[in-house]
Amino acid sequence: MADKKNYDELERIMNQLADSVLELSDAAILAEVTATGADPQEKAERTRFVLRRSSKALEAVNKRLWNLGHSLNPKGWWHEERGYSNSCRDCGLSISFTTATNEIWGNALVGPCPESAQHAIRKREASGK
Amino acid sequence: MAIREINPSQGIIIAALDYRDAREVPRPQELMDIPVLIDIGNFHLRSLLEKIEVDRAIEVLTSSELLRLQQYADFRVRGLGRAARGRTGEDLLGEALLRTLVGAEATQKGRHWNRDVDFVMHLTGAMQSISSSWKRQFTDREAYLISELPIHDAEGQEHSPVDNVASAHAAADQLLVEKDEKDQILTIFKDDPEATQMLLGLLHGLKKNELGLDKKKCAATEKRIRTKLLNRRNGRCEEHGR
Repeated sequence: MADKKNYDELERIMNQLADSVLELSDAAILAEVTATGADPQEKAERTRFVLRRSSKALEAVNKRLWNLGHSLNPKGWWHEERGYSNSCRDCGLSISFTTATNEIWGNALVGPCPESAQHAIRKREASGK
Repeated sequence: MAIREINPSQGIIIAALDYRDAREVPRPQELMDIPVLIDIGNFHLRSLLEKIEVDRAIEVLTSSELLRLQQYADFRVRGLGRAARGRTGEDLLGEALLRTLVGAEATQKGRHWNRDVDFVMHLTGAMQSISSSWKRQFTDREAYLISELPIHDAEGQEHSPVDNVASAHAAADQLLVEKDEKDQILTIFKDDPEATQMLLGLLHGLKKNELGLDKKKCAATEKRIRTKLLNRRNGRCEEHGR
């Protein structure tokens, strides 16, 4: 219990400090970072890289599934303890990924989407090729 | 391709509405990464446009906005204590962005970005919500890892709370309380009465205007606390190669 109280108190201080950062002017935050001996430009670009990395991670998962013929609902992702999950609209096979370890897993990765392959065959047959 | 040569970061979508499968759309290898729209009957177009908008918003963030995001994330994660479970500020920020991308349509699944809201404010709101949910998910009953036990004194020296513990010594939870970061922070500022006054006030749930410091002193004290804590964190991060 005492431990929990300590952590709640710690949280209160840190959250206050987090909020105070939002009140700083542009010049003030640049000056503060410089005062810590760090390069503000370098730190800022590192943060941009973190944001880009997250965006690219989702892009990579989508691309990999697309290459296997799976069709995902882009808004069908749901969040679980380990990461994000979705399933193919055609075959229902599942896919999960996490940016924490850049891991992708799920039975949709086993091979091409069976429903998508059926669709291509039906289409070829219909066009007589 | 000409557009890409003029502006490589320009968001582009190929509309190929006569096709039923994006893989069948003929295009040169260099354009294979461009999203293909084959159906405007559902929210596919909206989703693609939102991804482009978010990517553009990332590119136009200024240095000060990026620094604000990074520090906000770091302090929020630091406030989680053990509930952070090894996650960093970068993890929190990345998660906020990801939830923005996957949650653009269904607000219950992610964090819808309302374009009327500044992108920085949107991400900080997302981080606040995510860090609170991490805290809720964490159970205090989880076992402590031995790597979580070392404590740092005001001089930055690392000790283990079990270094000098005899078998009949104090209870384990009491030792763990000793290692708590809250105590370390108070120790760091023991020679700064205004910082101590502010920290103790915040610990007791007081608001900034109730701390007994005028606005100017309050801002200066807050700055000293932030800078000192960031300095210590940076020092420790370098030691651990992160």
